[in-house]
Amino acid sequence: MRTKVRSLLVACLAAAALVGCGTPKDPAGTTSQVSGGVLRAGLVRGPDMAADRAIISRLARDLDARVEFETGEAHQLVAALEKGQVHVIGGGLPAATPFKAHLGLSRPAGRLSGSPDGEKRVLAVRPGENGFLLALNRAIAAETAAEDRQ
Amino acid sequence: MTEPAPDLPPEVEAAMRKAGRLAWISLGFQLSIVGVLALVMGGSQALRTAWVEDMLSLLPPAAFLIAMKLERKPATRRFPFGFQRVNSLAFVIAATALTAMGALMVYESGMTLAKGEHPTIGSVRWFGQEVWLGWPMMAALAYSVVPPVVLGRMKLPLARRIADKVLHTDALMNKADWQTGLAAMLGVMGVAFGLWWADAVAAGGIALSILRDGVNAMRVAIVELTDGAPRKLDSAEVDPLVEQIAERLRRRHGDVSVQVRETGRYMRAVIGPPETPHLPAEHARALVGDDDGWRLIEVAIEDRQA
Repeated sequence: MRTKVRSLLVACLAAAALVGCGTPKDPAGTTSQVSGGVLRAGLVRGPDMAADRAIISRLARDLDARVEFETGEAHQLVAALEKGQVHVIGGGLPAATPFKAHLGLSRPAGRLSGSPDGEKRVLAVRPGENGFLLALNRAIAAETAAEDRQ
Repeated sequence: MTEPAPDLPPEVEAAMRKAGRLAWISLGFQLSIVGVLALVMGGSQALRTAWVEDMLSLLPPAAFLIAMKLERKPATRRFPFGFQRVNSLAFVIAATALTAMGALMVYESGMTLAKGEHPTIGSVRWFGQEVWLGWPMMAALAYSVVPPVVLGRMKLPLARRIADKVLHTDALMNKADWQTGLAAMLGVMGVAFGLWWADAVAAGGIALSILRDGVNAMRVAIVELTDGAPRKLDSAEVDPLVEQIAERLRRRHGDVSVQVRETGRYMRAVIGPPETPHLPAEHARALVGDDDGWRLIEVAIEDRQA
């Protein structure tokens, strides 16, 4: 009984160590689609477009991808993201976005322009695309660090 | 004169104290597990379910400690039978909470699967690196598995010794806890491999086991509150002690009816003449009055001769 528990634990930890070196996979395969290909990004029109455009461009460079931007309204971009027509959206999504249930939100990318109480701004990928989200979070971290240095 | 709490044999007394210590240790570990899992919360439904179960497993040891404290108080004018049934009450509360939570979580994971929602697990910044939150989740779950395995195995024999259903449920929940932890680790691992459904399937399995524990505990709790015959600690079967007590009482008192019930960890037996199951109506009316006489059905004279 006790040895069974221990061997199960060992098996779990070993498996965790195995994958631990890599990144999690995407159920819909976004990372492998984008890598070496085209990263399609949607930006909500507004004052945060430029900052998020820089982040997405860095993500594209990290994945050796060419980036194509389109702009639109939040509703329309969320719908396009859900259908897989765009891979990432940004441009001033509040961290407490009402679309939260339909999105995989990134780490905070900075302040949301025009928010009186200093709300954070995020970007979003399709829900569950965890490997792609990790790549995006790394790009955000690198980009915000670069901004801080300037 | 009111009756004091029943005396316990020294070895049962010692087992009670040990059980009390274990309950405190459980509370401490369980709180630390709840804290550690809260730190890595986010995205995984299996982890959230495991976390809720860890929170719920604070209930039985807490109920056990409170009940143990109250149960030792002597009877009062307002509580002439003492406080033995606080233990039964604690048991009902714990069992109900367990059942409700299990049902809720089965529903949630079923809906997640039906709607095909993909769990999103983000990342945390550690030492200047973005680390996928799934890895610390698994480490926290691995920690959450160890204390319940050890504590549950220590509690089982004690629960038997002191005939305590709350402690027994607690030990069973500890068992469910570590299974939960492992299932949640598998769920998060599945997500790492891109299997979005693994998380909800693991959460659903965990929730089903919680629900089963809850329903079983509730059955026994209801039996006790409806003055059912004492049951075995680990099943709904009537304890063989009941038959033994009845038989020996009949040997001593002749052909009598014997009723045995359970108040907390104690048993109470009543013997009566077989042909008149209740107090004769005239006698009752003489004691209570014409209007409410029907309510008094038993006057027991207790057998205190050694």
